[in-house]
Amino acid sequence: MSRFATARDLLATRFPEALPAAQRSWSSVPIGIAALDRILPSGGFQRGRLSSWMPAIGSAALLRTACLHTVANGERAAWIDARHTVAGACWRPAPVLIRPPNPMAALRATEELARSGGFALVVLDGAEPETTELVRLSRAAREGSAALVLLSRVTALATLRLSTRPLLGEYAWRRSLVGDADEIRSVKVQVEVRASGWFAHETISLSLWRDDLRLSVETGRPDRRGERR
Amino acid sequence: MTFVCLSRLAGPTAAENAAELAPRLLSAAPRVRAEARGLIWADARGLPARPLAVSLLGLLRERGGCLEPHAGLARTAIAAEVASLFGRETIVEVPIAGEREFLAAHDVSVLRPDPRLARLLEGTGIEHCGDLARLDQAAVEVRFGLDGVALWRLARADDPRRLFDPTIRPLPEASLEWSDYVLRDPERLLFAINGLAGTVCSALRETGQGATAFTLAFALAGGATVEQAFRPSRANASQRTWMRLIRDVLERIRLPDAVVGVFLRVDAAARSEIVQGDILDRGFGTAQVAEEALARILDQGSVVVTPENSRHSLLTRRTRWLERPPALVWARPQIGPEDTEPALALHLWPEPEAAEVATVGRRGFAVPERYRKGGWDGRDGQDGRDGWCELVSASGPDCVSGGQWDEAYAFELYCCVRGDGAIVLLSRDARSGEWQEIGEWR
Repeated sequence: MSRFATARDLLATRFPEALPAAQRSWSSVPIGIAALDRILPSGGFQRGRLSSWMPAIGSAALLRTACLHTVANGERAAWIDARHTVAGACWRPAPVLIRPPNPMAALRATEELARSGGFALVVLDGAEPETTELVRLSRAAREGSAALVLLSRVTALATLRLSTRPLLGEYAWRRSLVGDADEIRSVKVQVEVRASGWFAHETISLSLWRDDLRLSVETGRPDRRGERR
Repeated sequence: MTFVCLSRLAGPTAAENAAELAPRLLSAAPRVRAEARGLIWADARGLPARPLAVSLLGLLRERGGCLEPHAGLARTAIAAEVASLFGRETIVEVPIAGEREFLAAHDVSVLRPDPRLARLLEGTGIEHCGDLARLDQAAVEVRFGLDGVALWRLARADDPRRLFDPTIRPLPEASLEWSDYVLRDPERLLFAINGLAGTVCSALRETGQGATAFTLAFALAGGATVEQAFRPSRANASQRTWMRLIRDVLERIRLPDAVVGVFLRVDAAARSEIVQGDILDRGFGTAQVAEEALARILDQGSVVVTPENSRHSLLTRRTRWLERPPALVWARPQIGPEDTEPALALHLWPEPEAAEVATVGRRGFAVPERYRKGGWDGRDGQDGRDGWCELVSASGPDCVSGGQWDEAYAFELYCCVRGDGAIVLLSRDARSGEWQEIGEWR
């Protein structure tokens, strides 16, 4: 056995949890859904790399899960809501939610957070960066070892590209007994992962957030549901 | 010595009260305070007490017309007061750590107990301060109540009075002026300001503070002054952060004349907080940099928010977004396994998009069958037919109405599944009949 191999074995014995420096940039931030993490090339979003996820049904839900899983693991995640579309009623305030005043501020915020080294996962939702901006974001992610995910149609410079495809025929419905339309209960989406020399897909079932307060009309006003007019 | 107590201020030409005399002593003592019962206190912290007392007595005689003023010097106020009022010599100095012994020999009446308490003390045979100080607190509390305990503390030379408030340090400032030339180049101005910022930030850091507001003033060649106020997102004494804020403003500001001086002052400061973290937390090591990154983002106009939800029937009015400080990153939220279950959540459009909707009747309601957004740009829609999107299902309506006291509203909400699999929320204003797409489940 060479002296190099001996030294490596000795280090592995003495420091079993240490990662070789070369692997550090390849460690990943898992989504937290085993079926999905299996189809990702490194078991999650790669740290220090830019990933893009095509906005479609299920994409934001799965990214929210990834953020929550990151926080549950003791790391930090940030969600930059460039278009201010996140509804407070269904937001679980564990990742840091940032609302920038304009798209340019959203890009600046993303760059700051990715470069800081304090956030394992940074999600930019609702901004469409240009190529030069993508270069800056990519560089910031590398400097801060953050997994940066763009929820955007832009895929340039992304080492990992994900998309979701709804499987409409496999949606689950709750049958209405009074002749109304059936109510949707859950959806199935196919998640497709593309990277250099890599393509994999998996089907995931997602439940639907429901507005539990829909009966809470203001007092003094009748609930007109079902009323014949 | 901490306190100098001056008493016996009477004299044929003496001022009418201590309040009139006190200002005349400010040439000798930095801080004086007059009491209505004819006492004047001088703050002797950091000063040689006896020379100060001598000069104060001299001033009282010369400028105040007092015949025989007395001074008591002690580390506690009660000892100084008794020494001044009851001492035989003109200046009585109570030795440090000897205050209790000094008081012990005096009658308990020097502590000015109220008459009821004085009778009780007399009845139990307590004559001197030493007699009272010798008792333990529980025994005093049982027999004489809370007033007795307060007097017992005084007898032990434990005086809680704060005669002089802590000195308020002036907030740091720095300025630079030049008369031989004028500046118009922003880069040169930044060079000068950078030096001032370094001075002010260092002064702030020395006191453990950070500025929550500071002002940069430009003295112009025409004699005018232009001020620019800054409000960092948190208490900040980082020269780098200040310069970033200042640089952002200098890029936009337009001054009417050349600059002949700059002045940087702190308007408000707060103690720089150091947050205790958990060393077992994986994010602990990076919390500082995360907080600093968030602070920079806030300085650029973004906000960190958390929702506060009410039970309002309208989703668009249910949430109030609360702005959070950058120190939020130190918190470690508790996440359970059920929280990480993926679920489609409704995303509300910042502005609802007007829609053209084709409907069918169902149970008295006009239920959407297909729709096209009002801002259709001529491209084909999901189904390739002039922007129209076919709906596979439209469940509802959820009828919400209210606002009878301000702005009345009545909406019918339909959860619709489009032919491409997307799930959208369509809304019909029951009062005007207009349709809108207000959000999408993503």
